[in-house]
Amino acid sequence: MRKTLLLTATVTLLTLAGGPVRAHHAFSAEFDANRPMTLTGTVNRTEWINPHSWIHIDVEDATGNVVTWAIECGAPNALMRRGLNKNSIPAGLELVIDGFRAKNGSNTANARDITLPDGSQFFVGSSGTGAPYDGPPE
Amino acid sequence: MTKVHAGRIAVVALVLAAPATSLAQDGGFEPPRTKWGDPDLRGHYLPGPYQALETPTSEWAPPEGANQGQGAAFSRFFEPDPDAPARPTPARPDGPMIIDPPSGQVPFQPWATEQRNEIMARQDQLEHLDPRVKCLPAAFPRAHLPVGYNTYQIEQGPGFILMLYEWNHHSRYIPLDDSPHIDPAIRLGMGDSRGRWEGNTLVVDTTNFTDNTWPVGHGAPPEGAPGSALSTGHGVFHSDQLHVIERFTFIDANTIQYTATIEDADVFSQPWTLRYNALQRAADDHMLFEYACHEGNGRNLSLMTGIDVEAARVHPIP
Amino acid sequence: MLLAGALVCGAVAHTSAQTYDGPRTADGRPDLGGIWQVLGSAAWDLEAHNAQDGIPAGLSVVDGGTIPYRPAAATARDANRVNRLTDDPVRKCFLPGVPRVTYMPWPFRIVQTPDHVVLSYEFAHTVRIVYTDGSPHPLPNDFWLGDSRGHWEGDTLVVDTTHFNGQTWLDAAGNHHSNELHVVERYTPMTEYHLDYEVTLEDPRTYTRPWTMRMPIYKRMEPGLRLLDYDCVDHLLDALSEAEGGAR
Repeated sequence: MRKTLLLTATVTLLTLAGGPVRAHHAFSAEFDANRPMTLTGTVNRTEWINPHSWIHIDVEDATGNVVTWAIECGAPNALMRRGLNKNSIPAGLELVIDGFRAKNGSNTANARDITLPDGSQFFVGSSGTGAPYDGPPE
Repeated sequence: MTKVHAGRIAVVALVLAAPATSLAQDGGFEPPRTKWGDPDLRGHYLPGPYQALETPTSEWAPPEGANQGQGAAFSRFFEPDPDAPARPTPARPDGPMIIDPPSGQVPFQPWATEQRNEIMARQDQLEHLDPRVKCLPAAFPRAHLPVGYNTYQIEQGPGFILMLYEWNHHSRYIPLDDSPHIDPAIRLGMGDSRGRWEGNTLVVDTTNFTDNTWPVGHGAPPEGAPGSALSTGHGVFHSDQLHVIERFTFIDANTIQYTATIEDADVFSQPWTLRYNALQRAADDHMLFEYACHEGNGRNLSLMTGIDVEAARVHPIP
Repeated sequence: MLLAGALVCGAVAHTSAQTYDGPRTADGRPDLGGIWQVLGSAAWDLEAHNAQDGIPAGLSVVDGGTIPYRPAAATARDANRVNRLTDDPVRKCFLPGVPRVTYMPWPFRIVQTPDHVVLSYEFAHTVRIVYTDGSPHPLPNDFWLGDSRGHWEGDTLVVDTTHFNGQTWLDAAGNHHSNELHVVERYTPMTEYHLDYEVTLEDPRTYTRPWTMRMPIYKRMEPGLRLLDYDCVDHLLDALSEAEGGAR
């Protein structure tokens, strides 16, 4: 059972590519600082859980197919202190996500900023993970 | 605190070989007192600014093209608040928290240095994974080292201090009544703490730890680095002989300086001491939010170790 | 029958203010500080139940005997009960919720100040901060233990809790609620050794009407007692590694 892949209906499909994942609960284990990306989509659902909240967004690709991306954000405690609550990101809301793509090529990203339809922007990144945005404020 | 003042304190800290008396540590700041005459620690606090824990004992460079651990872990966690009290700079902004031994290195026994490297090489295995990542207790002094979503609330009354830790809803009730530590057979993740006042300094003595925690570790270690090359404290472990003596002293109205001496004759070659401005007074409307740790952690543990933690069940009592 | 019930309730409310003569704090409130624990088997089943292997029998703690479920919610409760060994969130080491955490068979400590009453529970080192400083419920987010705001009515600490996430049960027998749950706890000290604990639950999605449970809470009297550890997650990780068949 040790290396069983975790596949459940409630979680976006994530595959562990190849050998063991070296992780200290660190950004660098899962996400690629050299692959920044911007995604626009509509919110499917959110999970306000520790240590990372997740926003699942439906993104339309070039051919019109809709793909659901799992976007990892910071802890709910952190997001609440930045002014977000569960009513801020309701299902159906259009969002722009700036972040970094998962290394394993799945539809997963680690978000740095999200922009809401009214133009307001929130830093939703995790802290203490070694992410590229984890430096001193510019 | 001005830069000059910080520099003066840094010099004092370097000159003193052993943990200082409260007078030299606090520079004589007189904190407000409670109605019953003790320094008033009550309130809400944020963790202090990021600072490296230790001087590494070996060299290591990340492979070219690898992600870099940025180290300045959570400086962006709290958005700048124009009304917040000014944040003092760390006591030793350029040096590690460890002030004794003066090298700043964790004084491991030689076998323990190797063990730390083994632990850090096996972070993809559940049994070796950082206990805090598994939602096990942070222990001390780690619970007072900076983590973004770990803020503090302190209550006190005549005869006790209650410290609340936001991360993973930990708390410790510290009696100030000269009572002895509990039965040595009893083991507690956060240990058994007993406190007393020495002048303006709260001294807390903690024993009876379990051995399944790390006593230090904060920030993000670079991917792939061996334990001996870290400045963050990850992989430092302890036995059930762990004994921690902490000192909490206000150095100004909004800053509590924290000094912790760590003893464990089974693992370290000598006691060692860190000093750090660990508690910064928060805004008046700050509240601790519930931090349910394990409840949402199954997915992360599965990603890291491949184990289906969510399938586990414990004994039905009740 | 209803009138008699109302008279009994009225009698309880009036006598509590007259009978407490235990310690008080500087601001005149009964001093609830100390370590407390519930006896009985409400944690297994709030309603009347016979013994099973490892579980004692118990009378109902629910006024009127049974919980007034909506029909669909009653069916869900029965399914929960059948599947309780896999579905009870406490068996996954999830937080027990309110009021279940009160009557779990582990002690808890009350630290009482004018602005906050902090309850620390030995089970999974759970912490509830009850704000008695007049502040309102916070931003709309859901919590396992809800958000608690308290005030005193005479000698009774009244704790109002909302913002539940609906993922907890009320006991190990599958009794449940939704995220619309609203709980009002009333802690009334009777003597310095025991409190009367009365809890009213309101949840229009789950119940046909508000309902009340009540039980005593007893003070732990052992000298030198402190809360010890029940680190459920540690036990769960141990169970995992045993299942894996290897050492941790």
